[in-house]
Amino acid sequence: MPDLATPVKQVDVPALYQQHWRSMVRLAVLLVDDLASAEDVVQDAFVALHRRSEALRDPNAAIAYVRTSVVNLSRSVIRRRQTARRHLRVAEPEATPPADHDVLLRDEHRAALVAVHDLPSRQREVLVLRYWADLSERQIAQTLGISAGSVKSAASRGMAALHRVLGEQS
Amino acid sequence: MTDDDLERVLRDAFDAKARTAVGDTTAPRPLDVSIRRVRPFRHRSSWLAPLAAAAVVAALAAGLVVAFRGQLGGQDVVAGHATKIGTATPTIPGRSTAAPSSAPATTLTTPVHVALKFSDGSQFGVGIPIIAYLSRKITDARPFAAATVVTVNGRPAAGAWYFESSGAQPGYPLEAHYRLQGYWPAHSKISMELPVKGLSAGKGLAFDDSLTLAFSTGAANIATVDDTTHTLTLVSDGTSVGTFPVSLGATNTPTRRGTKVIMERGASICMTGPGYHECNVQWTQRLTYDGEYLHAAPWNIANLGHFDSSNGCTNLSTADAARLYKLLEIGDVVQYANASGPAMRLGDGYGDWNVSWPQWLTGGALATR
Repeated sequence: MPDLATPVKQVDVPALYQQHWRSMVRLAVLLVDDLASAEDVVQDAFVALHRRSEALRDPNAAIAYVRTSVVNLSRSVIRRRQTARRHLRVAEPEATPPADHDVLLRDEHRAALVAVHDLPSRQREVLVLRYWADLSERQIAQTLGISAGSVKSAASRGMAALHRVLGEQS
Repeated sequence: MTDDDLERVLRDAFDAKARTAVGDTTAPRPLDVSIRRVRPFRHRSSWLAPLAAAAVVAALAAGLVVAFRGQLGGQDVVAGHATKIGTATPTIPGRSTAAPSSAPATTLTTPVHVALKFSDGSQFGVGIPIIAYLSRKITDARPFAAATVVTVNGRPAAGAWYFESSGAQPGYPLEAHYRLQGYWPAHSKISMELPVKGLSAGKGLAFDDSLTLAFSTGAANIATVDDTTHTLTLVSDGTSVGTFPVSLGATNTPTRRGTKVIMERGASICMTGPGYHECNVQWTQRLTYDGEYLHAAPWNIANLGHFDSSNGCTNLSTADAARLYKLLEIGDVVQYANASGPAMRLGDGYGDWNVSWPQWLTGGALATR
């Protein structure tokens, strides 16, 4: 009997999607600050994974790939948004989160998030990956495609900036 | 605040924000590996399009789609879900709506970008065409036409696209106009959905963006210019507003014959032509690309109502021009049924109403059905 259905071992994208959708959207929300863009970013990241899923055999490698995509795509969203602001003709919706969105947060948290949002992308990414995703310095370096030293310096610069901003406010 | 304090605040803040945005019980929306996605109105091209297109190509090439479909329990992931992203309310994951399913492009394609001339929220006269610019000369307009959904006050409208070459926008060699058989109903809300991202635009071409447009119409203002009585008569919502003496183009610079639409307005502009350069021309309303206007011509009062002596414009007294400037808006119709110049064509301005409906339905440069 001809065996046409030789299974190729590959990453199960839909399963990964089900499993990691929530944490990835949360990661993206922390980076881009609005849910609609965050969901788009995650969709696009999994579409990219889907494209690559043949090449990726290891679910851990796959999720690292998605995480990197989410970070990179989030950065693009922010960049596009900034470009759009420069060209005022362009209607970029949802550039700010809905008014009721952060109402549930405590003042202290809101101030911290605003300060994080105002950081340069790299510093924001490092802090989110470190304190929310709980990644090690090495994992952050791999995710961002930078050296561990750069992670360290981005983290310390980011923390210093937050100290400054939040210190002034209190 | 110590580093430890700050770290704790950050952890708590991130956690609170993440959980507020996406609840623990929120279900993922379906994974959409097709590249159809309705985005809010946006001019700029999405650089993701080629990526997404490539994803679909790779998926199809690898035959993954079949396996994928099986894994999702028979859910049709190829036809996909056009996910409309809300503009006012936070997105609720999973509230995708099923799209009219045309198959997405399945070959590696060159992107075609679509840009709409008008922005959301404007009010226009009833003669306004919806104008889209295309970044390439597409070879098949049928998917574009079939995907277009236009409603007038929430009811489906039976208009059609008409394609012509365009020089209006750099980088956009093709222009499409959408109109109904007759003018838009007055005082109406019109919306268009153009979910064409990923659809084929012909062999090797696919649209890279989806657009929406919402605008409204004002009063049905129809101005009629009679070149025998040298008057302009304005009828608004069926009621005559007034008759104004005019002077049209002289014999060697005649005013075009046909139906024109106000394209742009300026309270005071400069006009230049052969042998004249006149600034501070007041109450101007443009009707053609080459520069026919309604405008104040206080220097030509003697000829108003009597004699055609302009460079092609419709000269009016300053008071009348000002009054018309207040009454009219972009998209209002000005008819020159018996003017002495050449027939107004589509590309001379918003010359859409000079194309017969049967001709319009052919789609012009491209078949639309």
